[in-house]
Amino acid sequence: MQFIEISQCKTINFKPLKPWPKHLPSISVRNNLIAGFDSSRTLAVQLDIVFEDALTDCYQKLTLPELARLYKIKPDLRWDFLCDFYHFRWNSDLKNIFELLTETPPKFQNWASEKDLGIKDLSPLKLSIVSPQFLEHITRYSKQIGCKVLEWGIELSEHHSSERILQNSENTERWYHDIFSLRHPITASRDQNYTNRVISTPWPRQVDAQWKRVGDKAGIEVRFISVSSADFQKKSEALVKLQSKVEKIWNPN
Amino acid sequence: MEPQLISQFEKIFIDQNSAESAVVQRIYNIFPHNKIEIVNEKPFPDAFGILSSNEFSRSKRLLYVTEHKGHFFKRCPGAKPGLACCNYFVLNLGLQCNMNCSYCYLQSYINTPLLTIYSNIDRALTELKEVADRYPQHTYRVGTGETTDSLSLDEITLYSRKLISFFKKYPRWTLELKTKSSKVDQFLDVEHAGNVICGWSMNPQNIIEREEHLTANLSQRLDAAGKCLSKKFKLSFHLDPMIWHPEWKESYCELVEKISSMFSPEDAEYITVGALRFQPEQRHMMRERFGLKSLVTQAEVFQGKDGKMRYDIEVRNEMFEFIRNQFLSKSRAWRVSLCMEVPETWSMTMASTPRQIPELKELFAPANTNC
Ligand code: SF4
Repeated sequence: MQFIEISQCKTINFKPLKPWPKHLPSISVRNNLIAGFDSSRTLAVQLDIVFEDALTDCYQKLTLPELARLYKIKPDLRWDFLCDFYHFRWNSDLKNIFELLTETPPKFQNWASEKDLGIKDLSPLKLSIVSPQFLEHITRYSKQIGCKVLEWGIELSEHHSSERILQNSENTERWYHDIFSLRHPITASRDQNYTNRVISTPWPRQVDAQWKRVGDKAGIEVRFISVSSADFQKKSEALVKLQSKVEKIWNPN
Repeated sequence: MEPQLISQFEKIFIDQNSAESAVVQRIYNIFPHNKIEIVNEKPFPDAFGILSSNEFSRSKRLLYVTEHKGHFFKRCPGAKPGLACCNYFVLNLGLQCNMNCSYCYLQSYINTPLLTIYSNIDRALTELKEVADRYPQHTYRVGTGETTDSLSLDEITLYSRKLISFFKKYPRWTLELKTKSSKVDQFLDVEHAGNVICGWSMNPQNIIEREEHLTANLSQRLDAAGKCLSKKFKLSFHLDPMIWHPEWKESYCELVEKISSMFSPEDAEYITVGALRFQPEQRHMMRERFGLKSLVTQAEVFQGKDGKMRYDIEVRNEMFEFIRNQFLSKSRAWRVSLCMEVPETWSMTMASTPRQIPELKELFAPANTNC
């Protein structure tokens, strides 16, 4: 086994998300340091094999942002081979995503890595330049919600200023609803009207009712707990008596 | 032949096995020979799986003629649990389309970077004949517009002529050619048994201009339908996908006006209505290919029970009811139905599901295939 002083290597630090295990030595391939970048180390194992083989041996999985950073440092690698290994398809689309990703804030890149975002999840980035704050705010969400907000935000950038899009962004829940309403103004306003009517309906005591959207449908969700069959009958009858008022929720005039 | 159709294709690849086919002979007569290349295997073998937006757009300009290896004859994709749909069979004569609608479902479906035309239509006809001979008493409706437009490339293939002649021998069957083109002259002289329906997808002209690129304009579609009618072909109109926009009522009212002023209810076998819907995964490609100004990429759509993105059910009902009432205000005899809709929408808009509506019963009768 050959060793080399790290100071003599070119560092290909593409900032892999997972720290290199402490018990493993740093790895250099033909004077290119590819693993174990922390400053406490002075020596690296020197490999005399193909760069791509060494890389895939060291890293069984790399996410899109990690690959994007590597691409920025070493665009001349055999990217078709690497993409095949990491289950991506090397084409102009992916190259474009790499370039765009490296322009995003590191916080967003790390979130995209942690959530293992794919090409489609990140494809909205191709459509418009969004503010770094917007991307940073997204990192507070789960993958599912964050991807939705990313899409809506970018779709909104066509008609709204970035200040408007970022309004209420300090409050995670409120911002999500705000972005939803901006992106779906007709639906949001209709749902709000229904919500108001549901709220102003005198529901029987211990019966909860709310206007709820489930995909392409929305309606009243009525919930109550019956502690006995008599209680069930009482609440059901009270609900039946409400019929004409419920009718008004859909036909207020 | 329109020069635009010839210039539209950058390259034509011909699989060696198809080199002697009639369609290839026509291609040699139509296209400059320097665009044509005979190949031993499918071009671009590395381009597999989901296509990028650029690859998809380019696939519309690369023609590939080859034999179809699988079954030609397939059941309509609408015949799925949870969806009310016509009993309908599809005959795939190709894959991909030379027109370019923003909402096209092929964007979620195509995984080959070429526009493919199958050269072995004779085998398709043999398949059809086998079914016909096995179940002579059954009635079938067969359409060719699932994975490609039925007529937009028909000047090149002339497949309509073969199909119409074939269906002449099976008068109990119905052939439906569905298109957004105006290419009909190539088959108008073919004798038929009155069992061919020429169907047009219709949208107001403002929607055609904005969302249905490279298709025939509204008056060209209406004129083509008129030509077919004059040769006693049956007609159908599909107001599908209806696309919501602020002036949608005016636009669609005008469209109904145009159709009903040129045709009578007796001329059209039926009218189907459907609203914008698409697979969620195709939204990325639509955004990249048509931008954020398209009415389709801007649409307020939500995932329905069947997984597709659709307008809110209230909006859909309003649209369907509006169209139905517009037609019925012209004449009670217009037959308007919904296609690819959930049964709930059927019952909300039409007070009954397809098989309960007497005038549509036949259309939606279960196909007796038993095969
Ligand atoms: S005409 Fe039909 S197949 Fe062709 S692009 Fe439009 S929707 Fe797609």
